[in-house]
Amino acid sequence: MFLLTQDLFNNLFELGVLFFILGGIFPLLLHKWQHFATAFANGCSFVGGVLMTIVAGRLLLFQETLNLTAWTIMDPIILKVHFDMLSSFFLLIIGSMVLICAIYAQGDVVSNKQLDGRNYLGAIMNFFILSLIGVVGVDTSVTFLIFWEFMALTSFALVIFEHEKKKVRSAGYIYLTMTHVIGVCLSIAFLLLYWYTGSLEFAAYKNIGSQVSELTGSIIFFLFFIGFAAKMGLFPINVWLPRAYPAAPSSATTLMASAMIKMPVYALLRVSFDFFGTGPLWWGLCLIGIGTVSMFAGSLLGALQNDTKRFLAYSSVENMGLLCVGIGASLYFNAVGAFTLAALAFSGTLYHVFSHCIFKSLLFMGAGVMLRATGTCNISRLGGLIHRMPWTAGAFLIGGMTLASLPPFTGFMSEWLLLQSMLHMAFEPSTPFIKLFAAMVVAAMGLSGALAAAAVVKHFGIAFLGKARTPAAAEMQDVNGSMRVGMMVLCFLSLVLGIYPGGAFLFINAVTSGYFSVVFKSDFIVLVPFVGAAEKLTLSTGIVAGLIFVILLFTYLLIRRLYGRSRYELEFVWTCGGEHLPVMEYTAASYSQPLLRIFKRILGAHNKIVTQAEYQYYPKRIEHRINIDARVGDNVYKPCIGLMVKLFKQVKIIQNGNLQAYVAYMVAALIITLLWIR
Amino acid sequence: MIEKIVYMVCQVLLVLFVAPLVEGIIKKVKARLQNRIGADLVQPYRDLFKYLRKDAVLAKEASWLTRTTPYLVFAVVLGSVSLLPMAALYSPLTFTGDIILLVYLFAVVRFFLAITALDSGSAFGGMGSSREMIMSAICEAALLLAVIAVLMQVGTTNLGVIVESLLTGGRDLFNYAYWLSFVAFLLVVIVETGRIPYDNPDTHLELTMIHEAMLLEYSGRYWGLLHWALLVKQILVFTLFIDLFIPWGIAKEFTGLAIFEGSIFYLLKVILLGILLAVIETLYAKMRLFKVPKLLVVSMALSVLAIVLQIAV
Repeated sequence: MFLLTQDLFNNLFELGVLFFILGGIFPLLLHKWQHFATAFANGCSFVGGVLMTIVAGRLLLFQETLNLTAWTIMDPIILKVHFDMLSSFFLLIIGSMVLICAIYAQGDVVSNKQLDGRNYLGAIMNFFILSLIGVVGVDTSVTFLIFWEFMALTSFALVIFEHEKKKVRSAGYIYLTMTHVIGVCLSIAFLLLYWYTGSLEFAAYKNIGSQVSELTGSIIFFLFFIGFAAKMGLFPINVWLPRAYPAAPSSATTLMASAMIKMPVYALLRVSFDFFGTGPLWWGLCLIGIGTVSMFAGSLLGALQNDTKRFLAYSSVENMGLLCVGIGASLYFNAVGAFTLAALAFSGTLYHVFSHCIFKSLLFMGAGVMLRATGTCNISRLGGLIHRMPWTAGAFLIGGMTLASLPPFTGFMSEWLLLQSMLHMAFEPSTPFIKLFAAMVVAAMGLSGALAAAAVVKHFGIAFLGKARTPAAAEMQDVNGSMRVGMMVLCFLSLVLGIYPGGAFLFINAVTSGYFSVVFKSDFIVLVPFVGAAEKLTLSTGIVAGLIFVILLFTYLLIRRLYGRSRYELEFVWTCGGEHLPVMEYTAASYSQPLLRIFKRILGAHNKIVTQAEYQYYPKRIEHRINIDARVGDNVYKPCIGLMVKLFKQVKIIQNGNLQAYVAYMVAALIITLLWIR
Repeated sequence: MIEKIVYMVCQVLLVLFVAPLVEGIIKKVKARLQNRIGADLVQPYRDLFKYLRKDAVLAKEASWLTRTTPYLVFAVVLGSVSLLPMAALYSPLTFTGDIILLVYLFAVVRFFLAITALDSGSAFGGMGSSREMIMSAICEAALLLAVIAVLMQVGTTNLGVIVESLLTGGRDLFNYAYWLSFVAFLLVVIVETGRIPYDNPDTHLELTMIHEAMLLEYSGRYWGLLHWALLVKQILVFTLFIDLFIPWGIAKEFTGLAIFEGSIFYLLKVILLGILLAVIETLYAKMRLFKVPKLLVVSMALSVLAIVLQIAV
């Protein structure tokens, strides 16, 4: 039993951190041996990821905490980590995602011949991972902000990795601006907390809600919320997401979309349930409302995208909205004292964190494969990939089904838990407005889920099925073994967590039990002990999936027995006698055209048709542009940017670039200082 | 335990073999209302068995999806049959799933149909797939709202409990909320089964079709299985409507006689609902595609009104 002592696990944690540091520093020095350096970096990430997963798993299963003090920076500011259940849960997410992404990244980088300076990519990745672990681990406000900014900077470096492209640079600037806005909000919020408690420790902020007035509490809470919402990419502060994700290299995007975007979720949970515990009723409702808008906007805009990576970015907006709804529902139920339902919403949120990590990284891996062969994720240039890359197609299909929250995959389990909690918000006695609101939220969840399914069908169908639309798409090869393993592990996880929810609840319950007295017993069957009129509700996708599988097998064998083996001929698709050409296929833009037309009012979309010809009726070239970003882009951001530019022009009077003026400022500053200290 | 399994198998087989008959009745009623004689009631069976015997012709671009989807859809639809209360109050598998799982199993069916529609690379498939997915997204919201309008009285999503408390709590026929949600759900049923005025199940006219366009490229046993599965799915949607709005006559005890009576009542209700839809189909013309969302918005508005009425009372 000596091997399983806690000291050993502390050491394992330190060892993992050491691996990440080594994997970050050495590849920087090995520019000459790029292959070796990359393999070394990814190897370090992999080993570190495995160690972190083991440590986090142990902490959660045995309900232990891990404390380490590393370095006293200044007297009250101490770099130390404290992993309680919540941070261990997110450490588990980071660890498992890192180890899977490392496997994939190695395959991706090896097969990508064009990528220059790949040793730096591996190194930055390791530092990035280190910052993620820091964010969930530390428990003082200053170190939290340090790691938060460290995470922002390393991810910025990843976004602008291919900085020679103009689009990438502009995406990087937008991302950087966003992180500054976040930084301001968080710093003010933490300063206010310091003001009221006189401490930097998270432990001192516990139950801060009862020590300050409701107004002050609300200001602090919503400052935090705005900061985290911007990082989560909630609508309408989501502009950076669809730009940054396609810009970063695929292996980096995979980790950013699965692990980094969970950091604000972690922080929001920390602030909501640790610092405040419970808040006024309207906090929860506010979060649910914002989450719902984000969900709807994300799924609608996502379904209109023709670039897979952009679609996945908008899908993140949708899913972060769903998580926000979950957190809001939990806060609401906490405020009204319905603790079983609060625990349900909380567990659903954590379950969805699992689901989102799995399917988002899976789909980004698939998108990375598409990108590599044709240099674009624009599905209008792909087609027919399922014949040449069956593994990627299968993985993408499973990822897509999980994204569309279809049973028996894990997306359905988490969607079900969150739907249940919203439905019970409508069922339980409360004011009529809240009941109606909850019913509308459920409908919106259904709508956005179905729109997400439509988007998946569009992206899978156009890119993987039918005929190849470009020569590059016709020559694509399937991925190498390493990438295949990465994707298959995720497919397996998605299925397992979908039919055996007990596996996820093993970890979720460890967190939930810290905040609520209710835990959900679950193995193959999820049991939700609702109180009141309703009976205990159970769900088992595993049994239903098993039944369906048996029927499938039985039908197949029966048909075969009755009518013999399947006989079929392959023929050309009927196109009124002509040859079936790729241009005759349905395109990505036409696929979502009905959606655009139905929601034209809401989107504020306007299209512009430019014909180039001498005579209007015999055009030589027709250009058709649709601006779907009009509502937010033109009405919110453009005025804001205009205002900012105007303000900066005022500043220009002082900062005019004139050397003499600057010298004058310095002299003036010197004189004022001398007068001051005299 | 044994009798429950036997009951479940019987339920699945009953629905499987009644589904074509119901389609036959609907077609017959429509024909009579249009002053035609129409094919006889067993014609759908003849069609099905003929399809199953025939060899298939598939598109050159078709992948394994075209060959798998029919089996998968068939299995998922039959699996969903075992979740719903039909003749008796509690189907044996009630504990494994609720109304939400059912809605999402329908979504699985739709997902695979829509994806496979793009498999051949034919433009018709894409058109049908696109229309179906987008219309169904709006329909999903309408469906959930209509369901909530009913569930507000019950407070659970467990299908057995829903039907039981609707029976004992009494569906009040003089309640406005009941009739509002009745109409709202009926509109959803029309959309889910792809009937006029939403879609026309009898044409292959490219400008109007939604659902049928996805199915053009199937043939032989693949088409036979798929066709059968979709007939069963139609019955499933009917059953959901019956369970939520006309639950009377369902067997409360698990005895042979009660279940027999329940089955008779159930079949009667399904056939009556089929006739109602046939009448609606004859009375109305097909809607323009982009007017369809308005139909669904009407359904949503009715559901919201029903919810408001229930909260207010």
